[in-house]
Amino acid sequence: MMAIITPRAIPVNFFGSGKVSNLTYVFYNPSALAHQLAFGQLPIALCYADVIKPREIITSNMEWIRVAQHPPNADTDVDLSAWIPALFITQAYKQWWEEWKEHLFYRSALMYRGMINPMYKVPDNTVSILIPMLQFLHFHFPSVTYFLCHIQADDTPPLISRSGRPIELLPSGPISLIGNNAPTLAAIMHRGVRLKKVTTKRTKTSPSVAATALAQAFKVNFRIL
Amino acid sequence: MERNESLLIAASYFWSDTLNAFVFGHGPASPTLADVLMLTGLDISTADNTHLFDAKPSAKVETRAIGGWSGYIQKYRRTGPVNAREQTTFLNMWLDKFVFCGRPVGPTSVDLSAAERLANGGRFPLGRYLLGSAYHLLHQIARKLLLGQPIGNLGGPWWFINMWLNLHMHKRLEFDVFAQRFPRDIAEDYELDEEESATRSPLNFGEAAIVLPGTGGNEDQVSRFFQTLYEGLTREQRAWMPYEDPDTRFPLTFTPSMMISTRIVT
Repeated sequence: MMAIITPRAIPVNFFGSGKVSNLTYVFYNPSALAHQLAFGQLPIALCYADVIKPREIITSNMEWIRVAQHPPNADTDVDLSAWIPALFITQAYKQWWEEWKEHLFYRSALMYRGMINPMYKVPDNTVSILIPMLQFLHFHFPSVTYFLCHIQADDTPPLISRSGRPIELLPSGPISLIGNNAPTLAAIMHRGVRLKKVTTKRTKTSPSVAATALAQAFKVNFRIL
Repeated sequence: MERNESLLIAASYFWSDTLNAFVFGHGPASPTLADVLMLTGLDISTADNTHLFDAKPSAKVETRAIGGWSGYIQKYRRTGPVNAREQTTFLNMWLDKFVFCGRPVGPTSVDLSAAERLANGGRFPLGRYLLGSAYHLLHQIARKLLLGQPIGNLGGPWWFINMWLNLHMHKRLEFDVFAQRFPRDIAEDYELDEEESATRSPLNFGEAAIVLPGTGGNEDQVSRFFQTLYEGLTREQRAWMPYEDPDTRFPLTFTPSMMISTRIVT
């Protein structure tokens, strides 16, 4: 059971030594899915967000060992001896989701719904003033969350959270800002010089390089928050 | 299993790269290692010290110009007792064609070192690799959708995502997991009694989840699935933890003792 509820880095494309696809990793976030695992659900916290940058290329076994053993910012010392499967949702999570949903599925996002769902009739007063989208950063909760929303001329999503804190909207790009400023794998491995040699020789496009190129295409200015 | 293309397309719009989860109208949800275990029985808990990164297979297999996977089977199948070499070549195909659904859509030796390790009785958490591959596939789809690029053939375990969506949506789709019937193994010379059934119940949640009918990428169906997921499932339709089995009809149950009954399917 501990294997299921422990946050960890999971290997991707690890067969074949990267000949076909770059070796990388993704993060398993069971705390975001606790009620699926028959536990109580608290507001979501991404324990790897500030620990290590996601989806970097693995170039050696040592790097993977380092990533796999890098401790997440989570308490994994759990006694399950008396655990009984019982999923429930805490009031804190319920309030968190209600507010977050208000933004994610806001009225102003209806134009996108119309683009994806041709059967849906977009309300007549939906007018775009900012293309393609805005990114929403929410400081009310421990984990910063983001979503893509669409601003209408006469209707903007709430800019003040229910707790009275201001919500800052920033231009969005294809990269999530959450975790983007976490230490890179190169920094963790202290291999800055070697990284330069490797990256100049590689011909394949890595996920992180591709993401940076995409960010430039979108002209996104990342800010350290 | 039949691919529910419409459901997969509609759900892809809700994938969050940050959470590694679908953000549906009824809340965030995603395949977990518990789903890997309950649906596939693959190993998720063995310590990952296999060093597959540097592993080199001891023998090579020919994969080019042999006529696809059917040519691969013709070339490597043998008669008589199965040896480690034949098992390795089989597992190489099983991993690439059926588990990870490799991008080349033809014979490859990418999974050969992992196949060799499995054939020799080695253990490693293949289930984690499967989940990583599923997350990565959804990440690639989400990025392409955001940029308005065609999806194309990305390669990846779509079947596992489909199975998970089937189970997550099974109440909405009015699908009774335990009511499904499968052909029973019956000896040729055995005659069934009048009241004896020629079918059997499913053996586990995975088997039950694969028999939902598929759909093509029908625009109308995509639209309806999208609407359902956008508005969110009603409280009665939600199946956050679909592995409730109060009568213990399946051998692998979601209980604290589940790790004891964990088995590896190879």
